[in-house]
Amino acid sequence: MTQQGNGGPPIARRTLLQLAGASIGGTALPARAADSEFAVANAKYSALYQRTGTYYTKDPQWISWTRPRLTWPKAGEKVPELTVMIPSVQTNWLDAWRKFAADAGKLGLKYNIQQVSEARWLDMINLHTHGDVEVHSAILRPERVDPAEWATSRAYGLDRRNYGEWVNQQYDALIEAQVAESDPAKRLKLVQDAQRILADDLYITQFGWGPGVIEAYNSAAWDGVVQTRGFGIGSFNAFHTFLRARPKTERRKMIVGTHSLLETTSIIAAGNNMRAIGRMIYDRLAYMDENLKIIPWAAESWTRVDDRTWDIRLRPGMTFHDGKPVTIDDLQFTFDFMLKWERGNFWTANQFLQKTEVTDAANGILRATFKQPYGQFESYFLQLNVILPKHIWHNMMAEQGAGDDPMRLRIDKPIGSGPFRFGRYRKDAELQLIADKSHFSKPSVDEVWAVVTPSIDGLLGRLQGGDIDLIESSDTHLTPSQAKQLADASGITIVHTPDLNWLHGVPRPSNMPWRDYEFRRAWHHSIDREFLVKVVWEGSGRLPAGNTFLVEGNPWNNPSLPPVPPFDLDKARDILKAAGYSWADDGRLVYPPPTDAGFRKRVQQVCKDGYTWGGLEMLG
Amino acid sequence: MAAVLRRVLLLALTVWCILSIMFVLFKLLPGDPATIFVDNNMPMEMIEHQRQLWGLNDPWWVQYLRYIVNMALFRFGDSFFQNQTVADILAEKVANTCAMIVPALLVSVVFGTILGALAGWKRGSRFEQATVTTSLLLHSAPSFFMGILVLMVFSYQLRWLPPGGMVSLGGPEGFWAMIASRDYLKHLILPGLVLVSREITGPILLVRSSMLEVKGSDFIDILRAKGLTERRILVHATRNALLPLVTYIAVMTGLLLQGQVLLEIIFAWPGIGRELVTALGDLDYPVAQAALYVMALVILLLNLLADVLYGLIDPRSR
Repeated sequence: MTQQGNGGPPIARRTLLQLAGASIGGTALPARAADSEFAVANAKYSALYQRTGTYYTKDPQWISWTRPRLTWPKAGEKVPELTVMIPSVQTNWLDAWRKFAADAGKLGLKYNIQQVSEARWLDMINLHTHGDVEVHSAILRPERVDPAEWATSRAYGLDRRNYGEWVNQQYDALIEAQVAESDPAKRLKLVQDAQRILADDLYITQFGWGPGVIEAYNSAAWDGVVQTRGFGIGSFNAFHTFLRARPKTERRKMIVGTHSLLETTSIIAAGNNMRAIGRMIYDRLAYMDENLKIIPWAAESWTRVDDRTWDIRLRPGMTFHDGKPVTIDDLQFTFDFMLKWERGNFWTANQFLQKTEVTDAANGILRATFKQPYGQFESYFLQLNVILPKHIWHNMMAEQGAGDDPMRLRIDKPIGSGPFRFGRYRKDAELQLIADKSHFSKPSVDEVWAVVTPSIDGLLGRLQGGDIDLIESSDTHLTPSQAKQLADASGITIVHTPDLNWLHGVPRPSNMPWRDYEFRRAWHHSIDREFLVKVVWEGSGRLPAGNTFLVEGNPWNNPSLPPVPPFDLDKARDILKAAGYSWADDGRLVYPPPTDAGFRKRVQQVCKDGYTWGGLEMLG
Repeated sequence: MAAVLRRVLLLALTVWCILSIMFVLFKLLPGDPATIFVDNNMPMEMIEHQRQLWGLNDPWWVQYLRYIVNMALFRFGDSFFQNQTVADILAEKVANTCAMIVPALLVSVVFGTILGALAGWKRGSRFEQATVTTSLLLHSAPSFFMGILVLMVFSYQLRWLPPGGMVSLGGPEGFWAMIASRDYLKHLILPGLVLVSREITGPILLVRSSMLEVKGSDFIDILRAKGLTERRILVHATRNALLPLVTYIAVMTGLLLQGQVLLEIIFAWPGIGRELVTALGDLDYPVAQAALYVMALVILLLNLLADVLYGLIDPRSR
């Protein structure tokens, strides 16, 4: 017997059950905490709801939201108003949701769309008090190409960022297996199977793949910009352009306008923007090429010893910007430092690292041993970690009185071994990066200047006026109309790079009405994705080919997923009707009667037939 | 002296009220700074740990007392996100904002006074009509609109002036070296122009109406009877018409200090307004609280100064 989606190769049911058994460790049992009215289908998942602090079952707000949604609806009860929170800065999301809400109204569904501040939105989704649908877009960073970043964080049953609290035990078993699978080919298979379940069980819905990566640059002054898939030409996260672009004029100084502030020079304390710049100053161990293939960087090569152990060979001949040689001791010191102190940016990279030892100092080889079999060695561990100079950092914590918090360290003049040296810096205004011509990947430019320009109009104006050469594109892409406006300017070239972006919605299958698979199925048909892509995004994006985070173009994409349910309100109505739903006099959708055995079974089962639910159970 | 002392005590009470209101408002602010600060990949326990480190889990009254004492002693602590003390951040950003508003303020007051006095003196003339109409127009034009307009014309199209920032790339280092440079003056022209175009209207309209009142006074007739020239009479009249401007300048300075968020964004000027907005968005409580506190203090102190000065200039108000 196989579990089969609407297309693509079947997944062996036996494999799924074996994986589930291995990871869950026994038969699923109902679990109810002594101090909680809530129960989960599998005791393993009670850990999520019994967290410390004031979250979930200890949070009155979560309880007041969840309790009525886990209470069986009475006869004739209408499907409740569905709450969607949208950060006020995301006007595109709002435009799309107004259309989605108008369409859903024709099915008898009523939305309560709330615009909230970004801080409040973040707080609400973290506390799982955001309502019915969590809307989210992707912001790509190198480590996010790794499948675990999204597939785990957004859908794994025990991850707090699984905002819909969807707990599909077969999916979770595959996710647990892929993290521990160090063979890339086998890992790919596990990840693709997991995507199949995600799509099959209709958890997330992709509203659109995009918006596209559209950028513009000063082609009168520069040649040889590099398009990195998903990142484009101007991202500090994928800095190939800054290494390879060739000046056409005598000016060898590339000026990059950035929307983000340059808030700190400490790579430990930095936010996303300065962290990316930090990795141009401090060498990372591995990087990716423009096709997202992992390439050696400061680590010249690496050898897998076993599931938990790798030997890393340091590239010989590297020097720090103060002239001192980079040695294997520096690398080991960096890991020791991170393991001992780091609770910030680098924690994620090293959370599975157990120990390191120098096995061959003469040849610069260090052995890294992990706490468990580890599947993210190349795409995560080597991508995120950098090399810190031991001679500068070894006593810094004590010298600066930072206590046990490395975030308090002041690094006013960062010294690394990367392709760029830290030059002049005026906080929130400008930063100069000077090319290190002795670097193994020496930049063609002499200098890169980052100039803060907080408004998009300012960035466009400066580009048009020749004051900047391109726009840093980690979080700023052009819309088609902006690109059209710029295209008329002389010396400006517009570049379109295949994107890996998405905008998706995560309903809350742990709660009513989303627990009913048929309701979810109908709802998926109510989403007009074409409107988002063609109108809101002005055609800059793609209609999603599958409900997956790892979109077409991502090396981990499953190309044979079941297609996304098309926008079809008649079909949605038919599905609801067949599932026992009816409509009140005012047009609102009404739940099937409590006596409807099929409805009760679906609500208790939550997952599609063939999969096992492990999350919250209905009350009573 | 007693009146000044009373005013100082009143000021202290007002500061305490403002601090308390700010504390409540920040507690009511949506969002948890720990969830923004801690990397999303980290478990919930790390967020909890961070909250404890910041004292956000302490009882509210402990947090309140700690906050009041720290604010009273100007111990603003460290920024949550910027790896820098709040005092350093504010000192830099307030200085930057002052570098924009002080020249604009001076130009506005000096030229606004002259224009307002002339307009009031030449009551009913075309000059008065043109001055008042232009002032009302400029006063009504939103500064962000004016900002974008002058940028488009003078920077992006004509390329006469730089598009933003305080100095050019690689310009002078250090605050004083920077503002002593010609490069800074060049960068100041556009934001300064926008600021002056709006702020000059206050003195113009105020001095004009004050002048109309003074013009009808008996002492003007006496001066005229004494045979003084029109120019000398105008000077005397203007001095008398300046009284309301003293209070206005104090209030205007305070408002200018806090109200340039949009201009700072449009002209990429790293000032206190932009810093405050960013801190509020990021929930960087120490920076936001200290920035608001400093702004409130400046306004209160300038008001106090205006009261005292008014008393000195005009004995009738004592």
